[in-house]
Amino acid sequence: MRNYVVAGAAALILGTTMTPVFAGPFWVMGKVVKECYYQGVYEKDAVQVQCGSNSVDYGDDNKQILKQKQKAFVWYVYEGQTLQVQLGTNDVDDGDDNTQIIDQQQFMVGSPSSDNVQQMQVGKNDVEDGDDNFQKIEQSQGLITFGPS
Amino acid sequence: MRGRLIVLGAAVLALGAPPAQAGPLWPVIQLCFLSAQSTQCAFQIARGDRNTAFTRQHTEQTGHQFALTYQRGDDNWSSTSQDGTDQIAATVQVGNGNAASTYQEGEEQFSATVQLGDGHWAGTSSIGEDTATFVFQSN
Repeated sequence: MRNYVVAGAAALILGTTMTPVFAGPFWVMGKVVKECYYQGVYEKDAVQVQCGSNSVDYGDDNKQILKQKQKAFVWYVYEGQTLQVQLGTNDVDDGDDNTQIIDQQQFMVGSPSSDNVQQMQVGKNDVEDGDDNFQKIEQSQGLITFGPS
Repeated sequence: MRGRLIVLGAAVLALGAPPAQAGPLWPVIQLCFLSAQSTQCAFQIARGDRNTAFTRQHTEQTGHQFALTYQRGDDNWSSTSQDGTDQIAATVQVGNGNAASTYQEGEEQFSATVQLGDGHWAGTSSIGEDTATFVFQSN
């Protein structure tokens, strides 16, 4: 609990100094907030970020699989770039026999040159009060760019 | 394209998603609005019994892919496949025995399926550029 308070306070402080569009979602996202924040989504020199969260609360025989894969062959990273970001969350709240799978892959070759996030993958499964559900998300990206633009 | 995503997000909330659902989902959806050259976003929500949702996204280009599936009820099934860039697919099913399938392959594609009631089935397939499909079934 204390960690969440600290993370929330840090996010709030950062939220006053950073772009609002960034501050909003990360302030509310709970577990993912804490994990992704400290792993460097905010860090402007972050190259690869993976955030995965499985959560089962009050359920039986649930199966959650989260696979994330990143590859990047980048030889020039500009200041202010986050190259690859993967966020996947599974969440079951009060359900039985649910299966949730998120499989994310990213691939990048080249020399991105803008200040933007180059590749972003967001996947979320959510079962709340359900039985025998099966949910699966597969995401794959490939991007090849050469030379600064 | 970003404007379309914003409109879609607002539309989803306006379609009647209860605040309890909009609360945790909306902040995550906002992540998709982060400035990125290539974005893949997929959300699956399920309430009820024996729902099945399968979403597949694949791209090798810059652009955006957005897929949303919301199922509440019994025996629903949904499958969404996206291959290309700048694609939006939304499926909302409330009721019993509904099934939906959405396939997108190409660029600049929009598909929406809303099913309310019993026993509906809908399947859409879009291949090419600048395509739009919309299915609404109510009982």
